[in-house]
Amino acid sequence: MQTRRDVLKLFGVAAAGGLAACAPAAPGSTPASGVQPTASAPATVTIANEVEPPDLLPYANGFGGWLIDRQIYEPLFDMRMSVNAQGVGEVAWIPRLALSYERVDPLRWRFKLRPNVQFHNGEPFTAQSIKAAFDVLADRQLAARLKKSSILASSYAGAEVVDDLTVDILTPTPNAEALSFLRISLVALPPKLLAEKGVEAFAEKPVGTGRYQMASWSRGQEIRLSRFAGYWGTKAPVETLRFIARPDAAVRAQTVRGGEALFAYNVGSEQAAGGNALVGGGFQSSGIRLNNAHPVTGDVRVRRALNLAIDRAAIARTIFRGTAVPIAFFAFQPVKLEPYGYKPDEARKLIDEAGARGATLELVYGETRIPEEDQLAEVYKAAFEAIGLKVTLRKVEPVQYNEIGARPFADQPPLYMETTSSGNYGEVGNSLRDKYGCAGTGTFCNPDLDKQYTELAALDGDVRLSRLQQIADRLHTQEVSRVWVVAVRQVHLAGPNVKANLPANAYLLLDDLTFA
Amino acid sequence: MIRYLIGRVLSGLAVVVALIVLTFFATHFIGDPLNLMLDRETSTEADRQALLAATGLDRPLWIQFVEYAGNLARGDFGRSLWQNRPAAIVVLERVPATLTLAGATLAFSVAMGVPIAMLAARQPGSRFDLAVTTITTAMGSMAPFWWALALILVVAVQLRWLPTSGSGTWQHLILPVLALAPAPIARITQILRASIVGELRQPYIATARAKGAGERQVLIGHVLRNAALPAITVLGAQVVGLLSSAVLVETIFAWPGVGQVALQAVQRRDLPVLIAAVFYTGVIVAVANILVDLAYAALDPRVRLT
Repeated sequence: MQTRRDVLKLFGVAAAGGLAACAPAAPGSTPASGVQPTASAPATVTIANEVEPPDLLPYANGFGGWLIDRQIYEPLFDMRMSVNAQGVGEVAWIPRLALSYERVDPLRWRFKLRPNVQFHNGEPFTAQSIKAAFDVLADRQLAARLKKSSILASSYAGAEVVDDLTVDILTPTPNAEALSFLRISLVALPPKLLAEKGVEAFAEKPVGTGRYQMASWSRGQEIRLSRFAGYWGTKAPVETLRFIARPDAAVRAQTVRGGEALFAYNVGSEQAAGGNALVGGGFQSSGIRLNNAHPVTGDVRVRRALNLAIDRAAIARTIFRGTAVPIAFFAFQPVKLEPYGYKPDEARKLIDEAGARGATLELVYGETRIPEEDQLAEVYKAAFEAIGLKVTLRKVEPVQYNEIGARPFADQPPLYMETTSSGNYGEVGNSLRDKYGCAGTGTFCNPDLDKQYTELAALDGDVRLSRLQQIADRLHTQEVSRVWVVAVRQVHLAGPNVKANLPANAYLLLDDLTFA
Repeated sequence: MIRYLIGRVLSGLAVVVALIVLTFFATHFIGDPLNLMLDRETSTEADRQALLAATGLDRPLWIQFVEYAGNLARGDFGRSLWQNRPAAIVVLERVPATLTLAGATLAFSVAMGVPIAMLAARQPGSRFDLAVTTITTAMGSMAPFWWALALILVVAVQLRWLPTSGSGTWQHLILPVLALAPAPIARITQILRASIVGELRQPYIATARAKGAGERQVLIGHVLRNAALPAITVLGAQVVGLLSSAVLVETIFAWPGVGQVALQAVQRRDLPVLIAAVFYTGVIVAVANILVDLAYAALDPRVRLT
């Protein structure tokens, strides 16, 4: 499941040229979204989402909010990612509320904002709107009171208004990776309304600058958004967007087959088979986290054997019906790495050399990010047993899954199935610290590598790419603390007249769909 | 009668209180809600500490319980950890949907079960009777979620007669009712049929027939009233069964009832909402049982509620 929090923690392609000032776009120009109003677009479009969000406050809302609040709020930039022939993601940044940005010093990013933009309540959009949004984000106390995690509060030192249409955002240390969040996730909030209503009331009836404004919310039933007539760019193609929540992927898909919805989000390749399946607009890197502190998986030969036991191409072809691709690292990164080949005989030899034949390993799963988790778990079990190990599957609820994943290394299971959207903008600086760092959420620690991750954050250009390649090589061939399996692209089901050419992207934009 | 009602209300309350105590402690032992509220990949220890303090979950469990019990006694269920709204409102706004679904299912089950049972009981051992016995046994054995998925596939997707899921119109109610009804229909039919067959063998039926009463009059005027007593007992039990099954059926059909919100509360460890759901569900069951007792007394003059 692509969640809003997932997106927030992703970091941009600073190395790929993002550090340079962005080319200015003409004020009032239409976002290059690919969607134009069509004469035959229906008045109301119903979209079957995974879950109903608990509220519609941006930033920390990781549960079904993204698809909805991205219609209400606007970021400074949008992204379009395509994957080139080398399997590397290439990102184009589309100006939305910002026209350009530049790094004025190592700790300061300056954004030039779009003029003549207004909020749904008529309040003008200015640099104060970005500061207000930033203050909400950075207020850890407020985040706690709202029962949310202020996940990036520690990555920024504050926002400063330069003039009405210029704002500076500061980082405590040189951090090129912070740029992506600033570009695509920091949305504008109306400072006056926030002060009048308070954040909690605002979360129920949000106001943004987006193409749609909040119309109604019948909890448990639907959320309706209506076209915002005062939008600065091309007006929304349909009058009303109606979001319904259907947590079960099969039921979600059936709403489209039954003609009740035009679009069902992230149903998986199986449920979309035979219909108008739209692939893209979100992907996850799926695999297994190996516990380097475990008596069995602590042996690098066992970890290599586990990697060699998986037939990634077969998984991509069968379970994901060709919509997934084998990976050796976080998906679509600017590094050259070959996924481990399927070599069960070699894997068996390694298991014997390590004296691990017959050892029992527990595989914990239950993350529910992708619909195919159960099938994957069965495949992994069969693959590992085929090389001489015994595997017990333990499916747990998401709460338990997270609790197990956060334990000290020694208390964690040897195998922990994990799907992540880390690094979805072609950059993995923070993701390396998270997945392969001593203070991260992995089961791997090497202080020397931790130091290298920190150094990487301050680098850019070719030097950065070269250092990233070195780190990735080492993690892939020497440390082997993960079994990276496939990049899972999201598969959506749409009505027969819905057209789209979805980018790889880290998140879905409804702008990329044309409803007829 | 009033003394009886007071007793039943008090015993119902005792059950609800016991349920709340059990739920409170059980929930704390099956997982920390913070593990879901905080993003595992990105949250920091500072985030966790701030959230612990904000939710009050950093205090000893018994202190949390005493405070929570005090608030409950004043009717304050606390605020939902997820929605940041009063838990009682989160649940109460779902009660009408659940009552609608349960009421419609029971009404449909009675409307189907009673005539089928009467027809089957008229000629015990006949082909029709055997067919009813076989079919109701099968119906009672199949889980509501199986019916739910089958109905969605056939009625909503293939035939496109009804919406797959959701709420808001009477059409949305039909498939959830059809998914929930097979088990109650089967139980009502089986119990009522057996009861009618037994009653038809009673001497008073021969007397009625000797007086010239027709079959219809015998069945409806004499047999049904006596035979209905066991069926009413079953009906009371079906309310509990329906509320249990509704958790799954409401989720599959996205029916915005208490079952759906209770399941979400369990998955998210949203204790205030879960306890409010347990409380209101317990109240519904207690009221249903009292209604069954009253119906029993109304139908059978030998029964005295004291």
